[in-house]
Amino acid sequence: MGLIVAVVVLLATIVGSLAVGARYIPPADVLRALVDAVEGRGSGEIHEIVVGLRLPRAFVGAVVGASLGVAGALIQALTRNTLADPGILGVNAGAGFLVTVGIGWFGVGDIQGYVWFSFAGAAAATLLVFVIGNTGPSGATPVRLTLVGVALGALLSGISSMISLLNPTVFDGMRFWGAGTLTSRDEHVLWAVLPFILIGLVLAATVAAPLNAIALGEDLARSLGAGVLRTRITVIVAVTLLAGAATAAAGPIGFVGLMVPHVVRWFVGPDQKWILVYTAVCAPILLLGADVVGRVVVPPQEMQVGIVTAFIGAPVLVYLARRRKITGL
Amino acid sequence: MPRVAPLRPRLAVPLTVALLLVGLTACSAEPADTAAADAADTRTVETAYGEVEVPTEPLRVVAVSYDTPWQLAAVGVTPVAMQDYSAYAESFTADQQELIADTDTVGAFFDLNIEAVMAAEPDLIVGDVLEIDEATFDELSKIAPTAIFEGEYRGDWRVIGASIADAVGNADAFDSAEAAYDEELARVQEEYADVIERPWAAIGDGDVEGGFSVLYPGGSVGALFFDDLGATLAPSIPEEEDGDKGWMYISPELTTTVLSGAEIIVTGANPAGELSASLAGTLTTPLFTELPASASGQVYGVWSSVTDYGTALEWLESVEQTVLIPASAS
Amino acid sequence: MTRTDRMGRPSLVVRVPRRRGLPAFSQRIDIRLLIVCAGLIAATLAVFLVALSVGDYTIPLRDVVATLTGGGTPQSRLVVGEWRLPRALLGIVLGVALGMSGAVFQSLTRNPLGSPDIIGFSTGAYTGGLVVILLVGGGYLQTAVGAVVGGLLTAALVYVLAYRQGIQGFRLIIVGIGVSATLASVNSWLVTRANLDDALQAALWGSGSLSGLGYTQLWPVLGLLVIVCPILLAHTPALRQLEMGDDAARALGVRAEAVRLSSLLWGIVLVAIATAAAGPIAFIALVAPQIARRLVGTATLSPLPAAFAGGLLLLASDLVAQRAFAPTQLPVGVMTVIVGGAYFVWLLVREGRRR
Repeated sequence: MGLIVAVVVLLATIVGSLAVGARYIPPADVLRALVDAVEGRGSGEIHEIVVGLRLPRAFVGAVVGASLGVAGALIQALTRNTLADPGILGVNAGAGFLVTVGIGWFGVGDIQGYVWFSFAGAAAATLLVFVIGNTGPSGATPVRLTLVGVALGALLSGISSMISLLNPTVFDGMRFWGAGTLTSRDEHVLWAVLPFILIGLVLAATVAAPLNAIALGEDLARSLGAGVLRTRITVIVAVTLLAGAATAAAGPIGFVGLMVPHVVRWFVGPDQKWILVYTAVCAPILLLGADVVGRVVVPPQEMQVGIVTAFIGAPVLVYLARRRKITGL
Repeated sequence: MPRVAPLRPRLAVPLTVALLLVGLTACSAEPADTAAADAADTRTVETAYGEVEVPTEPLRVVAVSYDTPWQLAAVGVTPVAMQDYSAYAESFTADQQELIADTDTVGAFFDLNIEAVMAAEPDLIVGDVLEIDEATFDELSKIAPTAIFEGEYRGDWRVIGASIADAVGNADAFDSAEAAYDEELARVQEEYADVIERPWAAIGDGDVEGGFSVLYPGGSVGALFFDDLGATLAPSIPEEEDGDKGWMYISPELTTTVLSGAEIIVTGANPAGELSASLAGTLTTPLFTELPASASGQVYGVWSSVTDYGTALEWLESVEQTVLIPASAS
Repeated sequence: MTRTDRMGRPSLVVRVPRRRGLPAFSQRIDIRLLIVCAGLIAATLAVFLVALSVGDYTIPLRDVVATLTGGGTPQSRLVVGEWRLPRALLGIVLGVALGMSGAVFQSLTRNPLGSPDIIGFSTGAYTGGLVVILLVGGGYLQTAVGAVVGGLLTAALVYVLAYRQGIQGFRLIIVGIGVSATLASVNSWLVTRANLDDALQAALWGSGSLSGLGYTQLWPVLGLLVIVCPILLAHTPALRQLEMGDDAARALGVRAEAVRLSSLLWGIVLVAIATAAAGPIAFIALVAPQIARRLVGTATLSPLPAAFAGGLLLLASDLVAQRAFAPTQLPVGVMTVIVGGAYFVWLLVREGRRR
């Protein structure tokens, strides 16, 4: 089945991400370094690169990719807007804003600090968007949530930009965090956010069926027992956990959460269960694949993953949009 | 029949705010008169935008480009206004910081506030072509004589500095500063010839955590170490590929490959000797600490923001103290 | 002559009886629309006067008015007449262009987030500008030309790629996203490889700036807008009918594809003018129509209030960007997001409280 193919490709991508990099290392040496690492010994340049740099990077790429993909699929199901990406509810803007505040007022300088401010900011922004969006005649309708998210997100990111421009310490700190990268010298960061990602994935799994019901229409959904408000809240919590944690670990990475759910939906149809599963497997393929390409395409430099992702993904997106009989949301 | 949202409150806010602002400004103070044009002695200088009549002895000089204030200070002229450097104060020396704290500002890098220039009541405006294009030059000329210069390449402080010194009538001060620098340079090169012959590498900030960039001869910092001082470039450093900007990012994976051939590694630092946070981090990565230069303790941070012969002399002194003397000992 | 239309909205009916040579003329004008436009214009005028008065030199209102009417001191003639006046006028005029263009795009894509960037214009314009600044090393005029060329080529590319026996709104958005994202990557890459000076110059241009703009820019912009705006406004009835769906519109005699292409084209021309003059200014095209919609209280296309809202927004943002943290100046593109975003949030909150 298609899913098996996708999983195989994902595994191949992970292997590729361990074997390929800016520094050419023969496959035999890569294997030996991995074996040595498992047995608890090993040192030297090769070991440092394969186990110290590439292994965490592959892990982060896979986990962050899956998070962003699933968050994107959920957001598109919730807002029914083609342009929706996980950041649309203000996740990235909130994260960036609080990181800016953290660097500027609290003197945060290291990755550990960034993580918690980022996460807190993402959660606070999404909560605020929901609170504001849930008022009004029809409550948290997709359109209203989208607009509130865009408005608040813009406001927060504008203020972050302003602080950055006025304070060079912040500008410098944001330069790295704001780039979105899978390289992190401290894998404790990923372990710290992993629980939140796992919870988010579990929530996503529980909400697939109700989302299918809601897609048929709100009244029909209620009669089928899928609580509309409860589902919306669950989706928002899941998106915040997934996108917030991913952004906290790797900085803001765009496009993956936007593109992969669309493409997956064109192949597997409107059933949210399949969309979520396939997205969780295919999004890491895109992200890790882009990361690998970025390492070898402009030696001796590396192209950052955020740049390569769109560079590879977008033509594929456009090609598919032309070829297939595509469906809107 | 659909209920339509009430209009009055929504328009009221912007209207009220706007009217308040109008009220406030209508009751504000009289502006100062512009300084009357002085019929003092003038001379003609050749600038990037043609010939300009400048006062022979300018009293109020405004610096409108990034490096100009130090180039003026180096030849004994204190500008009355300059760009706003307050946000970056830590990257300047103590003397420069004193000057920054005392002076009025006229906008920021690439964002000149022309009204502030006029408010400073200059009798001469000085800058370089990087930031001041011809249209801006025309507007500035309406305020005071404006002398804008260009060098052989961007940031060419030697040529631009000489032109500025000439424009304010202090060409002699410039020449003697240049001579002093050349003399010191010759002495240093002779005294530390063996250190200079060892393979060096100059690195700067990278674009990812744990990464770095290599600085090449011809770049603003590279020119100091490799062209002026004459340090030997380590053979393991790859050829410059990205045009001639003078630096290139390197992937962290290539740390050993690129830097293992260097016995001495220098980086940029602020005047207090502190490295940027990202560079400090790079220096502690496992791959970096295993480099020969790092293992033997020959990684040095040197402040290198040279804009004129005065700061060049300071740089030379700090290189001698921070790098050459310790390196000779080991 | 006030009466209520079918939807319960009070409107004004203007009747001009038949005169010699002219046919009878009758037009229904929505009163609320009129009030909103008048209010926005009044607010814009107030902010305009403030923008002319404040700065490093505070010039009292009476001197400002004197200068505007031909008198004033030499100093105020320079400061107000030469520097502040064209900049303020450009702020209004470019805001009008962006607001109107945004309204048209949101109507065409039937998406409240629809903006000229959907068709990839802004990103393509940024790419064109970057190519000039970073690779060719050009000045203001070359950058403007590069931006327009880049934007137009991108828009054309998106249109061609999205065309499959006509333009389906959804495919247009998807292709627009794809092309935009690719170009955004190219832009990031170009910037990371550049000199620090070039990168900073590109960043400042890329956030949009009215700094240093004068009459050289004002007259061409004004001239072009005087031609293009009425053309685009003439599309309004057809676009409103298109909003009900292609089939319904065709039944009413509207040639759907032709109207769509024509409005896209003129909408892009408006954004091109703004981008050429001041660099890509974000957010006005997105938020001005949304503000206008909430003020006027109608969900359908309202290009005029959107235009006036855009003008007010850009002018106010420029003023705040210059004065809020004086002497530090911020790029206007950062302020449009803050000012526009704040007002938008406030409107949404109010909309929510009203149950």
